[in-house]
Amino acid sequence: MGVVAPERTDAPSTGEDTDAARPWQVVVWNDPVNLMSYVVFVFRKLFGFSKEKATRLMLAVHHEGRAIVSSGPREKAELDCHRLHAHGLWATLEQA
Amino acid sequence: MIDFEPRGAGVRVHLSTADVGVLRRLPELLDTLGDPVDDPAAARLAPGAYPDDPDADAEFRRLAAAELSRGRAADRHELLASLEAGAVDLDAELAAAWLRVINETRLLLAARLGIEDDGWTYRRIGRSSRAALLYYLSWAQESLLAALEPGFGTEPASWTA
Repeated sequence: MGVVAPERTDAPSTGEDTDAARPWQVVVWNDPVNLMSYVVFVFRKLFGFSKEKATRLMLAVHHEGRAIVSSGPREKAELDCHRLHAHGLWATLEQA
Repeated sequence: MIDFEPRGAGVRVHLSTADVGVLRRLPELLDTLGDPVDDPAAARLAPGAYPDDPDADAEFRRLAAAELSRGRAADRHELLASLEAGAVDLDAELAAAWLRVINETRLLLAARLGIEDDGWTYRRIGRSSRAALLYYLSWAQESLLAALEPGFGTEPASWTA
């Protein structure tokens, strides 16, 4: 799997300096189609989580509607979001 | 009927001629995806990243679109190249490609069937050919995941997440 933005050079945020320092969070949203077992598989495959951690996050998505599965600098968060999309999961980004 | 058994780090798939016929048609079904602007199935498969920031969202989509297309085309090619009646061995990477194509097709079918909430059942979505294919692919995906790692899925609280 490739990267989202190899050619990206523009500043990630036009906000204040304090905004740019806040990490970005990758949120996975509940959807009615993805199998629970598949969501666990994707979390383990993409993030190297243990079965227990991946299952806990999957259940958080299922019961609470969403869960934060990754966070970090904007480019890393965008890449994680893209990798989740490439596996058919519904993910978005928000700043902490 | 399609069946999967654990095989080292991968799986062995047992395929009938009918299974091969069904799976071979998935790429052409996925080719019916339209523009995310007016096709809910296409929108679901390219959901964007910044729901509250249209400019950042458009930029993310622009950068992601080609990469998504490239990856999905490669997956479909790998699926087609590996299909044949009888026993087929998939390593973990090829199994992942199968899972992604199956999942992509399930998402397309669900969008076409208007499935929008967790409460859907196979009884409710009826007996159309789309519903039958969704049922078949859901079963195949669950079985493939179970064979890929025994005990992997544990005990699901319900069918979907």
